Amino acid sequence: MKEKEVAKKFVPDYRMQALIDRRLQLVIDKKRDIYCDNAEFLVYHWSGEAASFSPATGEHACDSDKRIEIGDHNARVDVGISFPKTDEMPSKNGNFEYTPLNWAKDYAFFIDNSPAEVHENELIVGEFHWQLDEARYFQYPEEQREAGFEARELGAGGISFTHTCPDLSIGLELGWNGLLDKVRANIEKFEKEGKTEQVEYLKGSEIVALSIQRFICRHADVAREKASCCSDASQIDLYLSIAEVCENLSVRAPQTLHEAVQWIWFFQVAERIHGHGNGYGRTDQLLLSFYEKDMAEGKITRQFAREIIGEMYIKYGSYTALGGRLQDLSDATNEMSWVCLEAYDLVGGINHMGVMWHEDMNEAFFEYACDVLTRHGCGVPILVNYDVIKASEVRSGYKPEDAWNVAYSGCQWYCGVGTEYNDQDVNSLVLIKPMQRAIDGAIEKDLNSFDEFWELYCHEVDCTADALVKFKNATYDWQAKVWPEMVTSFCMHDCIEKGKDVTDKGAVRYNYTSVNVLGVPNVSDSIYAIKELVFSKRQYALTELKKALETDWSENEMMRQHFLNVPKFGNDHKEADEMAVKVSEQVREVLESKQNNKGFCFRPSLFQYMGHTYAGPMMGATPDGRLAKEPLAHGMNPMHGRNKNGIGATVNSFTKLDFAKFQGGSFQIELTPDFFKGGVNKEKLMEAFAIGFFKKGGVQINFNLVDLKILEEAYHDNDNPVYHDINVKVTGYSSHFVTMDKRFQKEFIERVNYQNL
Amino acid sequence: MNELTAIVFKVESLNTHNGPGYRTVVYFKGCPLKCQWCHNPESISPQKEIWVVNKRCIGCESCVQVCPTEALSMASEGIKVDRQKCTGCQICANVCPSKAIEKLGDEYTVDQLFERIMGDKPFWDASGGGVTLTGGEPATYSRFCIELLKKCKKEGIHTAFDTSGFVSQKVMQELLPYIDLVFFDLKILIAEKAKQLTGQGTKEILASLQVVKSFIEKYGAPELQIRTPLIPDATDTQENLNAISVLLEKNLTGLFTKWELCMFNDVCEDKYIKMNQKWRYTGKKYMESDLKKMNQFQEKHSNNKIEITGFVSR
Repeated sequence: MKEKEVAKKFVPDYRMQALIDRRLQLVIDKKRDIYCDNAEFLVYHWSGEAASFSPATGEHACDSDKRIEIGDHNARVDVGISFPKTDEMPSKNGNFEYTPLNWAKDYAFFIDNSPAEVHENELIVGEFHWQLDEARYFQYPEEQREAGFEARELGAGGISFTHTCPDLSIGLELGWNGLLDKVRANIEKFEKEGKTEQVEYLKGSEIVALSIQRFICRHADVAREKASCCSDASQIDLYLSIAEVCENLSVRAPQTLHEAVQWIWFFQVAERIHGHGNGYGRTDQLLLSFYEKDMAEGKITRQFAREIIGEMYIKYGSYTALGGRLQDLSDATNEMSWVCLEAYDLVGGINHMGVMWHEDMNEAFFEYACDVLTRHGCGVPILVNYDVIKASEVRSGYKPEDAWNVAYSGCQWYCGVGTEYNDQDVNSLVLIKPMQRAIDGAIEKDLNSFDEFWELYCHEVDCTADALVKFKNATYDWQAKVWPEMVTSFCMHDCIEKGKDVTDKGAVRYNYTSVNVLGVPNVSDSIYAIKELVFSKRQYALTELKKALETDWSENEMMRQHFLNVPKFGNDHKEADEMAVKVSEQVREVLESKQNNKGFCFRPSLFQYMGHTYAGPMMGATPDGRLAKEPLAHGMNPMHGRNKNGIGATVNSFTKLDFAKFQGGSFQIELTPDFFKGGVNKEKLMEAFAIGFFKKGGVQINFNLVDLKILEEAYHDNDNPVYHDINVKVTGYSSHFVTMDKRFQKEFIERVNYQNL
Repeated sequence: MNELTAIVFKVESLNTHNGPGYRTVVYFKGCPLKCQWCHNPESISPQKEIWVVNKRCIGCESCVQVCPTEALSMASEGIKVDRQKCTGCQICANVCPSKAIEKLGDEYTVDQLFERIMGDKPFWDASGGGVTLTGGEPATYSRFCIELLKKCKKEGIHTAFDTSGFVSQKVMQELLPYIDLVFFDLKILIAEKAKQLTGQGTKEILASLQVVKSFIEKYGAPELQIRTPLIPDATDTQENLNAISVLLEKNLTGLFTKWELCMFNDVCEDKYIKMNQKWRYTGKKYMESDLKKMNQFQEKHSNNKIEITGFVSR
């Protein structure tokens, strides 16, 4: 949907509108883009070059004509130059070490030399222009990289980087002085115990915390200076208010809603400077007491609360969660849940909040969530099934006292708030690869039955998983030394107490490795077609199939049609769906049987954010009748155009999987406005669909309302400002349509499904 | 006795245009009327059939080779079906590699169909929806429908029945206790014209409407909605609409909740191409001016609870 055409329920005043306009201008000027090095990164979640996403500038940056733009869901604001003091970084002067203390000194220098900025009209301040990996060496030792290339060869990969959810209530309670006191108390404790490694880590933490305090303080200085040379009375009020809040927050814990929101935003800035990717928990729980206190004291109005939270969304609409249940299983929806949603209805745009539905949720609130979703039409909020995500955490081994506090935290994943580091969404297993090896092996061994073929396939999946385990363990051996996440660690339970970084072994309570599995629908459709046409009907031999695949089915159109038209997953077809369950269960069992060197098992998620677009040509043609140039299926969603029996049949197929056994698997719906023709009540239909879907066991809905004609025009005319404000929920993340790589745009247009209902 | 079966050509979930909430719509194959404009030509014959999507055809002629009655041939525009010879065995559809030949009609037992639709129950519950039986004329399979509807009512499912009205009074009487909402088609009230354009007069239809009326008067249920497809120069004449309007006002006052005027559109043209049949209405379109005319009619007869649907703007 085009942002400007959305009928917002709450109308922004001049000040808020100015901030909204600035946000859009940053997008138009391409200042919020996010990159990766190459297509391999999207498919294997590891580029073989940078250790993580592609830094925008600096020594690890990729050539601008080579890198791939994956959207503009970035908190970083580009200013067109690299970090000016790169050469003066402490580690660049002969002092580089793979240690947290060395990292901390770089971090402090880096943030001390990052400008404090206060812009007109804003009350919430804090912006950053560079990430630390643009200035500090970020690469693992050779042994880890070798394991990475070996894993890729077999179809797996992954980075380890900022994909968790800190518990901000720790920081909101203590403030920076409190956190610092906690660090110092633990330094003393570990000194007494003679634990030098912990002492050194915490000395690093101390350096980092002090630098963040200085950073906050500098904002107060800038605001006061600006106030002194400003003539507009209302703007002066804003500056002075900012100055007071920043002065307070540089030392003590927040006491008002304004302070709490500003504290959270500074924490996000400080944290995202060392890496993008975390979620920030359940905002309605975090902020309720501040809101209630301010309202009771008559300090604020509800509209002010909407605006202050809306400002945070304008800065960056992070992954946050609303709703869900409390520990006693009662509905967690509160006044703040409403305000957080209303704040979005005020500012709109890109945002990554999720509403966690359950059967006992306040009905009016969920109805409002569906109203916002359909009215804004760009996938906000994401709808998540709380009971299923909690069940999946419990199944993994979460204790009930931790499991209830789970939060939607990223594209399609969720995390125990402050207790888990799960690498979710940054590991990949490409299921096409083991299938291809199984076909080769079956030909070599001249296998004659489907059962033998299946056994060989299972073995190959196991080999790929082993390669992934080896790579991840090599990474985990080094991670806390190479790239500790020291800001995040402040708001994790147990990290400061243990003197260990969140990325370190034994630092947090839960340390599973979650793995995105790419291509499950293609592999299950392929294996089902092989079962039918090769082993059951004996219509084709595997050698013929392999030859046809190698030549991308050229001169084998009839054969391709046969493979393409064997029943496919997504049509409520019993046998085809059973194969999808079998294939997904198999890879789950394999991954769950593997342990990482942190003592936790691997877990699959039936999702991959963008690899399916690029993996097609890399993998070549597949036995499901797919041509090499076509993308793979998106997550667990059926291949585009193969679910021919409508959305109801697709839902039935989809929910034959037990999502409590997986780490997420979102259902993607792109509808044209025609779907809601005839004066029907959109939000009611959406709500009923979501509840029906969740009652059948679905876990997440990503929804877009898409006017195909406008998108096609936008695709051919990216530079036309008319199209700059079209927001879409790409997969689990939001982006402006025209900022995405062309190939993503094309895939997105082709994806539009269900328009004929 | 053999188990009851019916030929169904489509089961559609999450439909929002055929009753309250999300509907699971069952399209039965077979219709006693032969309306010249029919928007579901595949629904008329009660037999299994096939049709051809020629743009998918890769020209392998596998179908021509397997057809036991030589009903298929390859012509310049693609595969041609000789409907006189075709027995509806659908063997050709099974061998067609590109699924250019599509099956029209699957045979279901009551239990099979019930199991299929029950998968949608969470959506009915969440939306106040249910099942809608339509066609063709669902009463073509009256015993089957009664059994299916009974099962639905046992589970508390909302049921809608979309009928051409050309149903015997006895069957209508037997169906009504299991129906929550009747969509009753009143197409043409001028008997001669009806016979000419739909193949049947109005006598049976009006008699079965009388059954519905008496039933509602006695039991206060089911809900009744009247549907009139607006077809250029056929049903959309002032004379016909006035006649329906008078009937509703005089005979059914207070007994129906809506009179739906469904605007003509040509989205079914593709179906005639696949059936390899000529459609008399090719090229016909409704314009904004036609919509305006209908709006005026709606205003004039506001007590008739008229709703105009399905206008496709150009």
